[in-house]
Amino acid sequence: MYNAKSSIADYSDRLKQISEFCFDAMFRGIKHQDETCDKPRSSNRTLSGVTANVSNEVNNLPVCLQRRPSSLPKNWRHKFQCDDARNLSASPADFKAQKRLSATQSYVERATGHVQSVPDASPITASGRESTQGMSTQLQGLAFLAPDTIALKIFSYLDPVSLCQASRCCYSWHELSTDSYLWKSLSCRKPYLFSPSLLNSLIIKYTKNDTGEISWRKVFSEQYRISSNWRKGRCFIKEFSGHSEGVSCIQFDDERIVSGSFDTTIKVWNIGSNSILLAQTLTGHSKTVRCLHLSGNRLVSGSKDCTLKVWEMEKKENWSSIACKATMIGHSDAVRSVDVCGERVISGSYDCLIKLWDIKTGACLNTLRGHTAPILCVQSDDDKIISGSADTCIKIWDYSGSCLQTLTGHRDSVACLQFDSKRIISGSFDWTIRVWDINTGEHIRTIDWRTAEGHNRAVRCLQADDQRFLSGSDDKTIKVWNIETGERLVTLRSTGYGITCLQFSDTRIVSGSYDNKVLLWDFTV
Amino acid sequence: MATIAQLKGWDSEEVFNVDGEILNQFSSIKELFGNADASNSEPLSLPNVSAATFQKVIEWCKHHKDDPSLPPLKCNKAISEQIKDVSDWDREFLHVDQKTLCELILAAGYLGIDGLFRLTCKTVADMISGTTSDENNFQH
Repeated sequence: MYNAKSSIADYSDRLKQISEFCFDAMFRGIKHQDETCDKPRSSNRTLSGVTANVSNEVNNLPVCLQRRPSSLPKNWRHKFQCDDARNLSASPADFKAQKRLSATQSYVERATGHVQSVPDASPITASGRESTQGMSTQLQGLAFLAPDTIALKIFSYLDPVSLCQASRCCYSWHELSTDSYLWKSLSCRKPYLFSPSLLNSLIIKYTKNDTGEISWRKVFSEQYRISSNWRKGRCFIKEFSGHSEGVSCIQFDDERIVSGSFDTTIKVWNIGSNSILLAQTLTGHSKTVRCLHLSGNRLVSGSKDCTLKVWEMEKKENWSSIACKATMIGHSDAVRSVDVCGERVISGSYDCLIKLWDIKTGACLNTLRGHTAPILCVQSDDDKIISGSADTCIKIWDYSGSCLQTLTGHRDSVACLQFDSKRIISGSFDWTIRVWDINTGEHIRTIDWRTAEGHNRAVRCLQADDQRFLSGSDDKTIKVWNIETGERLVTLRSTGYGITCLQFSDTRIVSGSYDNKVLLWDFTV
Repeated sequence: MATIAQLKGWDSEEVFNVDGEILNQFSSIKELFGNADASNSEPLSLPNVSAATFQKVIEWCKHHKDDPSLPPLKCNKAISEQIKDVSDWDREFLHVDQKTLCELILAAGYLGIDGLFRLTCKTVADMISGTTSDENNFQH
């Protein structure tokens, strides 16, 4: 202990000398420049003498003191001047030396204090230091007293910003604050947890292959970045252009984007590249492709030519067996909407009928009648089908074909809907989005442009996950909403054309619009 | 309630008589006593707690003896949602110097008083997050 202290004193003395000298030298250098301007001849001799002296000494200085002006931060001079102004009583050299000295001192003292056994250490010993460092030193003393487990406990109550700031305080706090446990608990906690699926994929991404260790700090930071990107609408937009007419429907998974268009084709894009050369075109429909459903390697498409087609999308390295496997004929008007549930395909059509099909054979299993106008959207799960129609109602059906409930309230066609275990969300041509309780059929909330920053054109498409939902509209925007409160989180706008379709995952949105382009909004930037 | 345990700090011979209600809050050592009659046994010395701190701890426990037991922290909820605001009495109670606060944390951790431990840790955490900007200013 004694040795350590004496060596600190030595070191600090030396540090003081060095920095004093350095400032002195600089100061003198500047002075001489001034002098040379005024009377160059008389000061010539002293100038050369001093500069030689300075350069000689400077070479012996530690590397950290030999910074070139260009390597200094931009605002260095400014800060220095501010400090100077505040400490008029102390010369710059004194001030800087003191600052370094106290920093070194407190570091070494902390380090040595850490070794001492816990109960005997008095937390704040150096009362003299308090005047210069104030609270920070006291707190450091406090945390050093505590064993690591307690310090961790204290740190676990901190928010990430404070934690990062605390980690900049000293080495030992830095080590504590990088502890995996802290970041793990933060990552799994409510305001920072973006979605469980994203968390899982990040955990896989940041697990070291050899040790199986998870870098929780990286997991947290990436998750935080993605969620703040979503919040601020910060994303990278990639354009996929190749269709010759507007894009009417879209689906995507990890590898590909499938888009259907008014030009009667379906294109399969590689999600990593927007090159048209890597896109495959599926032809077969004779009119506009109006709806798509992709699950695994199976794609179902519905078209204005009254048919549905099932495509097999499996792709191997040397042989791709993409082909149309079945065609379902039965509707008498355009197929507007399709959903797949297990081995059943559910389609809604302009002929006011909902039909159930067998995906393997293409045979029609059942027909649901009840709507009085074209059906624009259907969705199904294991025991029910929900459909929205141009007759402004939403109907809930069971598989036997009986209508369980009819929800009315929209003033125009229901263009899109999605339901989960708690609620139904529907978007309509009357510019509003409505949220319904799925069990009682009660109307919970209306989102319109007057009261809730809603869309001011027809709502064309929407999709929901367990925390938020997105809606796209003819007013050229995509809006992100909080699913619980109906609060608008962010509005995204890119093209000058209305959005016809969208789908999103934790990190991406893919949208189609009337301008023949598919847009990929990537939030991992 | 009758005294069922006699405890003392490591630094003095002063003996504290602790009754059952308070002893129940010391989750880590309450099992030691069970149903034993403490009136004629030796007072137990607590190695990590000083007499002054123990006095404070008992004061806190007396005030909080009717609190419901705390639910364990759930990992899927925000910390701020789960820890309620500090009451006025607690704020006054914790208006002490750093050394005492520190010893209170150690004592609460050692004796397993969950409520006090959370409270003190939270207090220190608030101090850290409140002063970081100053610290940063200092560092630059």
